[in-house]
Amino acid sequence: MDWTTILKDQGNCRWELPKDYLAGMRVPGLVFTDEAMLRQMGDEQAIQQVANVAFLPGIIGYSIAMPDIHWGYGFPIGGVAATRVDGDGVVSPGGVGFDINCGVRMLRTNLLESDVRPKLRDLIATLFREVPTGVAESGRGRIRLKPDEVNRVLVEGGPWAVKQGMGHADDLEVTEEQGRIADADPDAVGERPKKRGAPQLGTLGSGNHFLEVQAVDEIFDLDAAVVMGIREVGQVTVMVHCGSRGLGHQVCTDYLKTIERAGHTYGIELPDRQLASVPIASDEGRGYFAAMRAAANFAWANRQAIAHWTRMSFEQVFRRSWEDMGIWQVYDVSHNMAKIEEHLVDGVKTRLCVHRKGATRSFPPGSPDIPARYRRIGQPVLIPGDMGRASYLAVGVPSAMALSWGSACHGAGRLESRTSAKKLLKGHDIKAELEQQGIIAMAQGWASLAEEASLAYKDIADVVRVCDTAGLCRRVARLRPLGVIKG
Amino acid sequence: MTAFELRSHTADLAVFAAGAGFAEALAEVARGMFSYIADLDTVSARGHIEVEVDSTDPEALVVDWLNELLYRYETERFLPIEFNVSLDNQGMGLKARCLGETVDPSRHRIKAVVKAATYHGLRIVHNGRWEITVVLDV
Repeated sequence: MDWTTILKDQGNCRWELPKDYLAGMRVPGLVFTDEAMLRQMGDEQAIQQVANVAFLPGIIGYSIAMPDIHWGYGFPIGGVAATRVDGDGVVSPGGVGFDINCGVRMLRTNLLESDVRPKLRDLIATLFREVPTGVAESGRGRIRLKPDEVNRVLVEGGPWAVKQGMGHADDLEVTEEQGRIADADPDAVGERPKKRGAPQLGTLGSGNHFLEVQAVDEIFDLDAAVVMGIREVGQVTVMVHCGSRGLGHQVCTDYLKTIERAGHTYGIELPDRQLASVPIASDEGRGYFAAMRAAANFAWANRQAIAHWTRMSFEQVFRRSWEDMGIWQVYDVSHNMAKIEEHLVDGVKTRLCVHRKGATRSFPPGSPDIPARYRRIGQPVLIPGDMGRASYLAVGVPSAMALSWGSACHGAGRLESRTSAKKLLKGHDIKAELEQQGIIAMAQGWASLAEEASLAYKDIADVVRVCDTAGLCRRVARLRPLGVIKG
Repeated sequence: MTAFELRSHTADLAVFAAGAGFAEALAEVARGMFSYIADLDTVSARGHIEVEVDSTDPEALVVDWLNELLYRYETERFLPIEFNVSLDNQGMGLKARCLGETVDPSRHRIKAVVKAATYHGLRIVHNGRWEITVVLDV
């Protein structure tokens, strides 16, 4: 399939999918990409999914896709859709995904690569020991919640973890929603997600989740970098990518079942069952929102615990306090979430339900929703790439508000399926090949490294360049992997 | 002959399974899913759990069945490898006896986490034999 002949090039890496592409689309699609990446998509069904999302009742503007878009289930991964809250707008659990509040946390240090290199192997092994992936133990981590305490985690989120001694109050200042989103209801979550998820608190999970030790490779905007504590090339940073584990997965599973059945009674017919939706104002819609927010708080507690064990691992290896090593948090962003936000629609302030399925908020300087210390530079946007190439630190820009409801990409985006990556890498010693590049990797097994290898992903540099050109975010620094642990 | 196969899907993973009847295909699709989660050769059928699922239609039954097994696996740490499925409620419900054993990290090799089975790309084909294709979020 040659998508370049179907989509209309609007310039500045913006491609429109006409509303008449599929009968039933309520709005056109808007894909942020370039010609080369669009050609790369070939038979991928991601663009078809952009069209399907445009069927959602109450959708405003465009069915939007980020340059890291790839074929998901229901929504494309890298999809953004806003629906009108006051009116016929719907909420779709598929627009959030199974891993509710999957996101990225970034820590900085005052260590240099030259300080860390001699002990890198020890550091990665210590992290692999101290930060449970929870895979081999069928989910289990090291936190044992007392009965009912899971309800506190669901309401309090990140602050719960800090109260347990896992982290510093300053971490919360630089976490989206301060790590605790309001109107979360543990009763809306139900017993099954709690039973499945509670033992998994404080685990990374598998798939594309990881914890990576990085070094600053290049700084594009020193002024913004310094505000975020990034001062020089070679400075060591840490990035954590994970979400709400089995708790979020089960919330999504349970609500999809309810919403799939209820959707028909509201007369909502969609081209893909996985897009199942209900009106935001319905009982089911309100229930899902309250449960999704609780799962989001669980995810923030999860990343908070992992950040704490990361600091403890550095202390073990370098025999210095984490404060002395300056291991402070840069930011924590969600990239799987639906949020009620106020945006300008035809010049009028309007409440929208913004679904970001594999997309990061990218709010501009001056936004009241970002920490005071970043209000001059814009919200930090954390964009992890694959483990062999690089990751990026960026900031939100004003143009993103009108173009994408203040959203940017969330990663490199898959190019090869898991099965084909394994086929292509058959016989390769991926660990040894990464070591030749100076990267130490520890994982559950060969397969999880193969599935996440560089060749399975688009080049993060292209993805971020498109976001920058299109006006979705501005690059601040590039980070190079030194070592990674994976489930 | 293995009656399931793990197939490509860009973000996630598709399982294709076939059986003489819908019940056999449901058993195979479950085996396919657990073959991604664990090295099944290391697991023996020394225990069992009973699973019951009621759905609204055959497609929902596939999704609900796999999601119920994931829930039981993650909450009870029971790793099933053999599935004796009997359909009821006109093919929209099932009862199954699942043989396997409780996870022992010292003996079992767990490879990955599956988040959920999805409706996306779900296909049930009946022509002589039954075939199921389902996409898992991993």
